[in-house]
Parts: sequence; C-alpha cells; structure tokens
Amino acid sequence: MRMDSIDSAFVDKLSAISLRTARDPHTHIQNWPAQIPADAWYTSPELLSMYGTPYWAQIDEAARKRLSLLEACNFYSLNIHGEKALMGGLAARLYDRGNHPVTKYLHHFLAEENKHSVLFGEFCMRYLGKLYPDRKISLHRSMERAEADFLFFAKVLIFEEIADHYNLHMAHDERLHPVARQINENHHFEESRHLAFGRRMLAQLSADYVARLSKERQRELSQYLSTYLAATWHEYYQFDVYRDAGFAEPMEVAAALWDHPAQREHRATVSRKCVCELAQIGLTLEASEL
Amino acid sequence: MKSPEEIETSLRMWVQRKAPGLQTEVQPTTPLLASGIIKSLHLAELIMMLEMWRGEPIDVQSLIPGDFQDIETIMRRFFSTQPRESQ
Repeated sequence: MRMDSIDSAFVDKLSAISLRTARDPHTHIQNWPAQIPADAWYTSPELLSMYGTPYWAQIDEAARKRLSLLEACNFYSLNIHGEKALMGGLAARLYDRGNHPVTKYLHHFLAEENKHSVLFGEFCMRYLGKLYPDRKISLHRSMERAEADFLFFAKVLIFEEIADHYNLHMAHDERLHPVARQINENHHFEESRHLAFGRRMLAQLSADYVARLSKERQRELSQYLSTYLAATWHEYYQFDVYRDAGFAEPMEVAAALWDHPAQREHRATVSRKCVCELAQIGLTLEASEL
Repeated sequence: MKSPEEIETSLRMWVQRKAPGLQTEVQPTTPLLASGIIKSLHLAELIMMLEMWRGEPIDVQSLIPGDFQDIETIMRRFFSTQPRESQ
C-alpha cells in the first residue's frame, strides 16, 4: 500500500484542523442531566425503523418517543462497536512503511474515534444502563496487504457514510433533546474530516490495487462490499430494541420492518452516497441484499 | 417458542434467501460457509435469529467457524439438550 504517496499537504491540513478544534469528550457536554424526560425525541422520527410502516400507525406518541430513545442507544452502540474495529485497524497502520505524514493524521483520527465512543457510551450507560450487543464475527482469512488495506478503508467509508447521514440530519433537528442533538453534532463535526481522508485513501488504493485486478476479481470485491452494506444495515434493525419497546415477537417485527418497501427505500436513499463513491472507482454494489 | 423442526425450517428458508441463485435445495448437511452460500458477514444476522429462537444470548467470543458448518451442526450446537462435546 502506498499510504505514503497520499498528498502530505492534505493530511497536514486535516491534522491542523484536528489540533485547532480538539474537543474533550469529558467536558464537551458539561451538564449531563441526571435523568432524561420520557416525552422527548432522541432520534428523528423519520429515521426510526418503524417510520412509514404499519407499526408506526399502531403505536402512540409515547411509544414512538420511547422507541426513539432505544434506537438512539442502538445507533450509539453500533457506532461504538464499529469504532472499536476501526480503532484496531487504524492502530495497526500507524508508522506503516514510513508513512509519517499520514501517521500524524492517523493519531488524530484514532483519538477522535475514541472520544466519540466516550460520548456514545456515556449516554447509553446513563440512560439505558447497557449497550446493545455486537454480534459480528470476524473469520480471518489470509489476504494480501493491498487487499486488506483496500477493504478496510472501503468498509470504513460505507459504515461512516451511513452513520454520518443520521448524524447530520439529527445535528440540526430542533425536536431532539439537546444532549442527543449535541452528540450527533459532535460526531458529524469530526466525521466529515475522517470521510474526506477516507475518500482520498480509497482513491489512492483504488489506483494502486483495484485498477490492476481482473474484472472477475473486481466483481467479487463488489459482491463482498454489497454484503457488508447489508450487514451494516441489519444492525439498525436489532430485535433487542423491539423487545425492549415491548413487542412480544421482536424477531418478526425486525423481519417485517426490514422487508417493508418504505424501509427498503430509506436504506437505498441513505446508501446512495457510498454506492456512488464506490461506483466512481469501478465497483458496482448490488442492491439485492438491501 | 418454536419447535426444533420449525427452527430448522426457518433456518433453511433463511439460508435459501441468502443464496437466491442456488440451483438445489439446501440440505441439513449442505456446507454453508465453505461453499460460500453464507458469508461471514451474514453471521451477525444469523446469531441474532439463533438468540431469539433460543431465548438467551450467545457469547460470540466462544464461537468458531465450525459451529456454522451446516444446518445440522447449527441445530446440534445451539439447540441440542445434550452437553456440547469439547473442542
């Protein structure tokens, strides 16, 4: 991998912004309320997994708001799980093959991901007393370094573009409880730099690696990333959330919501950005699993 | 609570859904991961369903790829009342 061939002025600029705008997660939210009100929104209603489905009409305003808290905790939990994997991958690439300019930014990237997890975890533990579980399993297979680097940054892009859509939307949603709005605003603020860095890395890795692959191998990569995209989305429909919301058949609820046309359309809309970005480097993601 | 037969049927339907291009019907001993019918990325969704059917959480740290070899193995591993053989 040619991480060292990335434009050093670009990473220096990102590092400078990180330094100038650094936020301490332990003081960023000064006054965590001891309790949060039940009659507030914690996730924008139109981003909830029941929105646009028959379930939405079946539940009253109080149940919708309760669901908005549970789905906020699920969103923060899946971000923590994703950030743990991301931090591991970033740490493994520090000082890799003399990539010093990039490493300077990777230190910021890594630190900022850890800070995000502090805020997400604080909210979940204070107001729900738990995180929702991570059920991902990694079955390691040996792969060449260039492939591992490419897949790492491609998966980061998919995961972060989806999360950032939610963050950006909720950072400006005045209906949300201020703590929820602040957490989303903070995440978007730093993720926009991470995404800019990731796009640049992916373009570089694509030129160095993907462009050299056969059409068949490119098709296999596209298929793998299509499955990753669907797996990422499945985490937004956790049966634990519907169980905590009081549904007697939470797995059936999760399956029905996943299959509902309104939710399919929502996933396709939110995924469009990362699908387009991967198309620009020659990888066409299939929507069949979405 | 689903019966073991109902779980096995649901499991087979789920696997079949993950491999729409598959020409033959999935059998209890059809290799799943080794044949590529299901991929490691599908496992989180599968574990979520297994937990729901079992009615208790699964410690993902204790899992190995062999636990998902085929439907017969999955049924034995997660729904058998017999003690699990040591690995």
